[in-house]
Amino acid sequence: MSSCPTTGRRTRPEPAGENVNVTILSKALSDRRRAVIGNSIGLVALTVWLGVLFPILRESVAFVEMIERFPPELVSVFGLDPATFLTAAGFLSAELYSLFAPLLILIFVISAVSTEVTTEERDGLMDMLLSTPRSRMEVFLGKAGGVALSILVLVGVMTVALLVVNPIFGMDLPIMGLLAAGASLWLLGLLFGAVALLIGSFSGRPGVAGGATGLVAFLAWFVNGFAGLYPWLEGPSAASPFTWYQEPNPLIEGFTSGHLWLVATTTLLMVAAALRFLSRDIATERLAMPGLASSRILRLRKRVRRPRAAWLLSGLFRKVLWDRRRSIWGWGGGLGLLTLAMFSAWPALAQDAEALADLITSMPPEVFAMFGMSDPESIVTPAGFISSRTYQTIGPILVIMFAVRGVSTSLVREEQSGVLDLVLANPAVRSGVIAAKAAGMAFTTVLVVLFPTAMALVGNVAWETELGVGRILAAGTGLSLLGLFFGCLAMLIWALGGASLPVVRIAAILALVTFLLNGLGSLTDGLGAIRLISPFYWYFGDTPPLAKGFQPTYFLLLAGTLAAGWISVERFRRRDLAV
Amino acid sequence: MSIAIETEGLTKYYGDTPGIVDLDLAVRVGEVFGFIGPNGAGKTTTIRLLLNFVFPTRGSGTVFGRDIVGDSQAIRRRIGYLPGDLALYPSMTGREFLLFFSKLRGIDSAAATKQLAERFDLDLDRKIKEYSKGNRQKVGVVNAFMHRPELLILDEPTSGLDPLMQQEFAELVTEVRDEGRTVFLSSHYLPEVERVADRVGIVRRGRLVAVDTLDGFRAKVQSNLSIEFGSRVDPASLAEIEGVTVVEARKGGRILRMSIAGSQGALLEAVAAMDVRTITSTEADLDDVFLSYYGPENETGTGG
Repeated sequence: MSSCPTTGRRTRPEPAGENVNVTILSKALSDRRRAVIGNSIGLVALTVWLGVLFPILRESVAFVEMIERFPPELVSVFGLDPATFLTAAGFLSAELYSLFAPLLILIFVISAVSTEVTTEERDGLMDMLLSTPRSRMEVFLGKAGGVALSILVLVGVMTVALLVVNPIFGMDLPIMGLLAAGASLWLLGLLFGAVALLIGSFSGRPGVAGGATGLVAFLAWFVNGFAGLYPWLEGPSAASPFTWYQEPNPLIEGFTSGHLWLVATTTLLMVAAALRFLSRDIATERLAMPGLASSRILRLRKRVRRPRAAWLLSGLFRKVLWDRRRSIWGWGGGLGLLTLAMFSAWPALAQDAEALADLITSMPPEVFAMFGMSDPESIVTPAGFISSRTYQTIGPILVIMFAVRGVSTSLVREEQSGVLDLVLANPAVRSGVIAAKAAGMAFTTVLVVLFPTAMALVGNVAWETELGVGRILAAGTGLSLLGLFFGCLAMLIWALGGASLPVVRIAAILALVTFLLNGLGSLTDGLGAIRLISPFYWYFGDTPPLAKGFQPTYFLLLAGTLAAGWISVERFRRRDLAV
Repeated sequence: MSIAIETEGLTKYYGDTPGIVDLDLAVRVGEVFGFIGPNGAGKTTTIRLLLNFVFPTRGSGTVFGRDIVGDSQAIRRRIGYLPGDLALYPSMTGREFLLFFSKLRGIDSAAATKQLAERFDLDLDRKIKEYSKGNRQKVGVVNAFMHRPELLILDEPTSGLDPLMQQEFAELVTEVRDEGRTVFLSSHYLPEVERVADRVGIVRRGRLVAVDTLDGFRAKVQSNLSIEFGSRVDPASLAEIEGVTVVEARKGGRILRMSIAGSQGALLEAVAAMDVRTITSTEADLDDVFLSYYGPENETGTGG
């Protein structure tokens, strides 16, 4: 018996061994196209906005005078360098390169690696790819290459926008500097992409890889940013990728040894990740509910067989807690650390409070409004200063993302994957199922907010900031309610629109728009009225959360949350499942 | 006759949990080999070892004489694979998906794809997330067959297919075999295997417990006879006959229940001289043979 020859016509010569596979690479690149377009639009808008702002700032006489008295500690806290802030390079570093651009790139790259590699492995798609005559190395390099190119496109668009804005608004930055800064940003993205690949090639679980990479990035950012405040951080700071990324400033210095460090470290991480990926078992733990041993599913079902819906409901609630146990520690821990850092930074800042107050009065309010602060003078009080990051910018971003992701994983994805069908096949009423899951989301969100609240209570005593326990609790309540509001809003979008809508993205856009509405609304009379509908206005309005106790507007947040939740439940009871 | 798949002591443990243990298997070129066993017996683990998705704990294996670990890429060039738990890219259309995988294989399979899609009545221009389970399975089938591989590794291939399509699929497998290609078909569902397989291996709790042709297994089929006599008969006198086992004696030895392997001729000759009232026969089918290998309880474990 002879074996039958392959009759399919070969379109090109046999691809040789270990190279980047173009088919896999272009698929990875094309998977990212929507995210690339969306993020590019955001980055270009931010660039143009900064371009408009720069001449205004530089021509403000008071600003120029005050900047000379700028307390050096601000370098760490805001990424502002008083020596260079008036130059275009210093300004762009502070406003774009030190926080916003890397944050955006990191979120992009972590989610890209997660969907391309770890999620595909979990879903069994890696099996499909590897059943073809492509080596593991080709698959690995193809996917990594696709992600790397998509970051390059993103950074490239931003850099081109800067090259255009640069002469128009008189920034006069050297072209080589802009290219070097872009390269540096790209390399930073690649480095953390490699970290995600390495962690992913060990754990193979998307949540773990994403969460751990986020934590590594946060720590790296933290040691770099706060090294100016704490001498003991200077050692570790030298090993932080964020240090290599922006010190010395590539906008001024062009290509430096920092680039080399980034390239070298990324290469090492990639080699380690590739070696691991080449030699390990693929997808050994594929279950109906990832992260849940099959015995637990059986136990859940056994409970349900008895006609006691309450068991199932408490089971679902508990499952949400169980699923998010790591996230709670990650997100809550990060927020807690941030809170402590803000408290510890306060005494240094307080010494120069007066100079800072003058400075702030001299700056155009737009600068602060963009960051959600309509009452910039409050920054010189401990309540205002600590609120500015913990309760007004980073805190709300993290808590809202946490709540929305909770809705996404426990409802949207479960409907998409059909798990919700299974759950609802049991004798439980639909409204009970969704309520149990919403309760899980709410409870975990409150747990996350407990971390910064506890740290604030500790910090308040340790640094004698005299904030008052009541106000700290009130601020925590407000923050939780804000998170819950957007969580329930995400649930509403899901209940109305179905699982095919990009719920997380829509909720994030709504959060961003209402955040800017509150900040910018304080500047123009035209927006003043519209501002009143922003949940951020109900949450902090013009006063830092730590500076006020419980507010009547918190009831608006609560009412909005309950209304969104109730409509979701009502709508979900009647709508078709998973179509 | 040359060998398509050969394993020696092939073993995979997940931590302490056995996936497959000491597997010695030989699948010949040009045959349809059925690999059957209950859920969690180690079928999927075996397949994933052959494709080098997981690495052996010990032992070795070859496909077309090449090592499953060292020469995996060369082996996979000659394989078509249909996983038991099929995963597809949901946002692609069927056509895009198949084109993507053709490109990965470096071949132009447009004609084969078109022909297979028509044969299985599959609309290729809809998005995979809009397909029913059966249609998704058809995409998996086309993907496994479109490049005319020398060896097809199919894990529960007809799951989700309607009876008409199952029939079509069986014909496809038979054609492939007639062309001299090899099929390794894993299933826990006997009819799926019985329809097409030349030889069958039974795996249970991570171990291969029997390999034979279907005819060989049929020969092992035991029929059950229950004979009622007018007077008492000594069971020992009948148990002497080859292939006969007396299972039970009732009513003081007037009713004997026995199982017979192979021919019943000798037994009937022996009882012809006796005072026989009635003979009741119950035929055991192939199912029972396989079930007897499966063991009394349904096993659950790792693998699949």
